[in-house]
Amino acid sequence: MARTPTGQEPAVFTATSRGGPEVTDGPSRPANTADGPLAEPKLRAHDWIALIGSRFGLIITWALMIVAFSVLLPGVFLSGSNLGYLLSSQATVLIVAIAVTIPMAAGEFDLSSSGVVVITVVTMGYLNVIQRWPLIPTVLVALAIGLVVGCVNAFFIVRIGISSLIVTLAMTSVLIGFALGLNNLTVTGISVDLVDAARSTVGGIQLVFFYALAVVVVAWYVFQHTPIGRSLYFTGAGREVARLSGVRVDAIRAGSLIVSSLLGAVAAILLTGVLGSADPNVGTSYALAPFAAAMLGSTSFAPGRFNIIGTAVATYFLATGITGLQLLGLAGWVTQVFYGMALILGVALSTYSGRRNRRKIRA
Amino acid sequence: MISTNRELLLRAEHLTKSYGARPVLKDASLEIVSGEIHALLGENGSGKSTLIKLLAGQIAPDGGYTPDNAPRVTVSGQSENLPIDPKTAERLKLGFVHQDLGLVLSSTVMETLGLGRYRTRWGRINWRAQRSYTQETLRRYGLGLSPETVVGSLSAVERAMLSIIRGIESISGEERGVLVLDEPTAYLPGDAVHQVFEVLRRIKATGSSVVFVTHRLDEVKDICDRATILRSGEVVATMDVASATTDDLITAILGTELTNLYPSEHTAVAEPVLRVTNLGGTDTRDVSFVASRGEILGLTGLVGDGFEEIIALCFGASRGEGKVEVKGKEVDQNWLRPRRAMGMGMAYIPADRATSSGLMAASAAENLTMATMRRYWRSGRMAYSEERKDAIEAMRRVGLRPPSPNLPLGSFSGGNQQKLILAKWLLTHPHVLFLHEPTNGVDVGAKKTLFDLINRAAQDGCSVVIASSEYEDLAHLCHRVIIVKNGAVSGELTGDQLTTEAITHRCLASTAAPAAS
Repeated sequence: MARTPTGQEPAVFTATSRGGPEVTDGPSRPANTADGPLAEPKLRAHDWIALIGSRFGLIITWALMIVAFSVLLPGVFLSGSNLGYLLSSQATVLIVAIAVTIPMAAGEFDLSSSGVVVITVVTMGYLNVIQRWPLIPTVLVALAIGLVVGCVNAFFIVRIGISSLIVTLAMTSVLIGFALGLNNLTVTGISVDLVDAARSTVGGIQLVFFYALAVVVVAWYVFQHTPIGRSLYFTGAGREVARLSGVRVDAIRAGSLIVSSLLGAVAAILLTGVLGSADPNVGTSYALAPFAAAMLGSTSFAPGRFNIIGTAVATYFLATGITGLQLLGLAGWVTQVFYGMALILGVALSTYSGRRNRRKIRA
Repeated sequence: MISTNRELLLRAEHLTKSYGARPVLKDASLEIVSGEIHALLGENGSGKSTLIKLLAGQIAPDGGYTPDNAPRVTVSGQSENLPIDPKTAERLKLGFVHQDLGLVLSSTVMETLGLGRYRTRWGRINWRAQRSYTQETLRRYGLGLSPETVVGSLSAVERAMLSIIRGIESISGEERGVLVLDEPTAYLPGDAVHQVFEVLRRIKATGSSVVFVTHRLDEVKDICDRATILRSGEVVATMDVASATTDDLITAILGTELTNLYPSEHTAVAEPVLRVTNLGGTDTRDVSFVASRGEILGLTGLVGDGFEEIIALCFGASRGEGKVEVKGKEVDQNWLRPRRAMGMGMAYIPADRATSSGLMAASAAENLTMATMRRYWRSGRMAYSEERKDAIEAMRRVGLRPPSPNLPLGSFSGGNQQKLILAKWLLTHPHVLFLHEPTNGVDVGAKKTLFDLINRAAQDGCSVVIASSEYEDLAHLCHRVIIVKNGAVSGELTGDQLTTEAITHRCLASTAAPAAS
């Protein structure tokens, strides 16, 4: 059926093409070579190392880190209680990290996640403890807050067309302000049902970790195995191309922002359960860590793309580093420094590997 | 032979470069005489851009040479071994304009031309002197721009001209220089290219020379004095353009003769598939036409006349008014969105691959199934193996072999990218296929394949609408060509009237001639 184009088909596979702006940054590939015009690049040993390094570098570094801490802290670091603590304590951070990865995949930043966490936590304390509301309506109101914040973000970013960085940064300030206005003191005495639901342990690990795991699995499935995941990536990688190919880019962008805020609220509800209290100062842990994890995660597994497994592994990678350093006796300040450095390093690495990959292909 | 009043301005010799075991450039040399426009021709992968990068010092030549055959560039008697650094290139009066033009969109024309050579007085920029210098320079090259205009608001043509002027101004002082242009016209519409050529002619008149890399052979015939042709990394010929025919050039580039660039014509069925009524947008108004099953219809005119907007409106890529009917289903243009247009059986390939039609970072397979991915969504998950199978099949069909669906689109040559994007849309089995400048930045061999594919799509019953300013291609490929002037249909050419000359004449004619029938 397919008529073959005539034999004059020139061998073309080269950086000299006028394909796009990248054409200037790599040497051209010679064509007309024996192995055909379009052979997959043959990988040599050091290419394999580079490939494995870029795919699994994060996991390998993580393993090395665990080995190092186990040697430095024999019997402490690898103990069951420490591992259980590590997995449980980071579960809510993990949920927020997944939350921010979704709009990032679609090309939008959601900086308001820490604001959502704070307002939701404070509202939970205010309604459930001070106003003595039952648990279920309290949780519903908390979820509604996430939904409303997501919708407001989406309205200004997608409909009005303002940069997501600006809208969500401002939104963070608004939300934290409201939260402090509502109640600026820590409230204890959260519903026992919620505390049990979050804090009961299975095999030394709090239930909250398994909820986070469920979020990871669902998000991974959507990213990897559904057209929605594909559309998220297309929207983030080239919005105009996606739009002209029939992807509903505006719906994807709005949806990703709404889901992000909703997941932020879910994380906050679980957090009040884990702590048994509502502390208006919880926000700081959620301001930078999720972004550091998402950025660092995008350098691994599917380098150059925001991906769920990468985010999840990076979250625990960062937590492992901090826990280890704290056990070694470094005080609380190390957390801030570590996350800040990890964010810069993560972005630097992904920029570098992106450039390198492009060169590899063209070389 | 070099004529007496023209002296040798630049000589580059012993240019050799390999990547790994693959030689890309084998002892190539290039000679440029003063006051000439010299074409550098060759297929993608023939070593053109490697040669230019060597000259620019962006890459280093292969080592292991003897002092006698050291890779070297000599300009106006000054000789330097390669690689040279930018300072040396400037001293040698060797300038480069790359394809991306390297302009800062937020800066003004004056700032652009002043970059690196501001006129200062007591350490501060003398804006008055800068301004008069800018005006004088613009006038000298026949560019009617205000120094305060922001680069981002310039048209593509004006940007290209500005970048070229900056390039030549940065090197030529008293002495003559050589300016190397790497496909500056790649993204420019046909008639706009002549404005760029005017700038080049003025440069040539000063005795400086231009090295001009291009795929468009008609441009070579138009403006170049001599041409150096590369094939598989070797210089195969340097010829006088005036005494060579386009066929001679093609033969030299390919190494064999290319017979029948254009596919043979088939007859269209008189069954209307697309009917456009009173369509209008920002640049067009009241456009009505019909396209039949199997017909290849051209839309053309001068840039700014809005012919390319018509297909964007038909597909719902931009907003306007009027009615569009496909296969008997009529809708308001207002209602149309790309997604809905696709549902009606339309497909649209914009001209700019990098920003509008292809995702360079995504794999070939992902690009291929972008418009059809829902097909692979079965019982709760994406059917990856099937997607891969279809992608390989589609790549085979457009002549990419061996098909490697996992490579990122950006790693393919311009021609192969365009084939992949065409394949992507053919997978949607469209009733109407809209193409905007389908052979932009594509070499002559790939162009033939694309024409064959377009023709075959039409034979299979698709109605193809091409918006293009490549008059020659339209004349050969289309059954019918509609001329658009000032945003409205001004005439139509078909049958024996449909020639390159007739289209050019109609487009350039100052008043719309009544359509002969």
